[in-house]
Amino acid sequence: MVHTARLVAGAAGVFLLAVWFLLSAVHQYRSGVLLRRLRRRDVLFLLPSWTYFRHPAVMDCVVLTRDRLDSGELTPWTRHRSYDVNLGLRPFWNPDRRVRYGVFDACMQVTRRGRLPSVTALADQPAYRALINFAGEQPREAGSVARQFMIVDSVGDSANGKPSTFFVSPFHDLR
Amino acid sequence: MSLSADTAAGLSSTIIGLGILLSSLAQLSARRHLAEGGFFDWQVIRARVSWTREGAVARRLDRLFTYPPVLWIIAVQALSAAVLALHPSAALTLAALGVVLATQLLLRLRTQWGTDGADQITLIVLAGLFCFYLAPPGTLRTASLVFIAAETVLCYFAAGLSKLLDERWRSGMAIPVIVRSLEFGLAPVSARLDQNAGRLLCWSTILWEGSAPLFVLLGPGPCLVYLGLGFFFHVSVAVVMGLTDFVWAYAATYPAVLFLSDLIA
Repeated sequence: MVHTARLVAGAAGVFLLAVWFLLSAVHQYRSGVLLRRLRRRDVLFLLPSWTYFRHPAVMDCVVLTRDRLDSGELTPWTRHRSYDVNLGLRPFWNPDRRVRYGVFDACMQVTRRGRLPSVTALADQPAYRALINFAGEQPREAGSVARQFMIVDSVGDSANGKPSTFFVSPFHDLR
Repeated sequence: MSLSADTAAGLSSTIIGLGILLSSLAQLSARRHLAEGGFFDWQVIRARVSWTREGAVARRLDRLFTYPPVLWIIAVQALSAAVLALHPSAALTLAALGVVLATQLLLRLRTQWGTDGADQITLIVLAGLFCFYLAPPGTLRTASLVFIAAETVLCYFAAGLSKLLDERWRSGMAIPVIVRSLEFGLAPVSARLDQNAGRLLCWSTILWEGSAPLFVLLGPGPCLVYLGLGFFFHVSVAVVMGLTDFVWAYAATYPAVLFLSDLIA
């Protein structure tokens, strides 16, 4: 009886794996109506995409922040501390990698690949609210009352040219 | 070189278990991002999908996904991954796989953003191994390993083909661009990467990835060489680009790929 149950369960499992593989294969090269519908509902990211690095990250979506002090003075733009990675440890231990990827995803949604949205349109968007939270994680200076963030690219140490600015937020109160 | 199905599955379980254990510890280390006010604040994330925003399911998920209860999911994942890595018996391995699979899916729903190729391969390995240990010995177990191997070969082949079709990869520009970036870059490497080196690396990557099906078909010997190069590739990527999880995720597929190659031969 147990053997039969395992046989049935195993067969069902393998059938699902086969369907998953077929969808994976088709998903790499096709973008039909069915696949687009599946992708919209794929909140668990089950449909793999193996061609991510086809378009190398010409842009770094990097978040900088600055504060407005109670004196009215503005602090200099500072790169978020999550980008200060120990390069020696990074091959083995890179705990903030996932949040930086998430920030990149959120930046892509906010900037919509070059079309700058109005801030009022963004205010309720989860991506924008997540970025406000991310910016808020930066340590505060004494007297900081508000913070704004900026999304730029190419601030790497060996970058060519100056960073391009994608988006600058208004100031948000620091609670 | 002949690898039995049980040996292949056992090796995969150990490798993926170690990878998920490390990844879980990293998530716990960066737990501030899951807290209220963090980037992955559940009150923000839940708004992305309608059924996590409101309704009966949403209310249940709220109890699980708020902070700090969500840390228990990661802790359970870490413990189960440790059991998986130790691979004590088929029954315990199956149980551990079930728990890790569930926690992986829950955490994807919880964070929504930040998923990468390593996560996708990890899920494929877990699902394949779960079916393996669920099924009785025989054809279904073989099919489960073939699934893992087939997805891996598809992954490499699709990646190689897509790079071949892109001008920046063919011209040798792509890798220099990537290693100049803040997220994936390394300044000492970027400084030494001239046009010729860039072209060599790009074409090496294209040819190595694109030839995955060929080396599997050639038999276990050539396949082992191919996988050895693969391990070197992923370790290099971990060193230069910081993609740590990719080493564990892809290495966990290699026993299945070798098994498939032996099966075909």
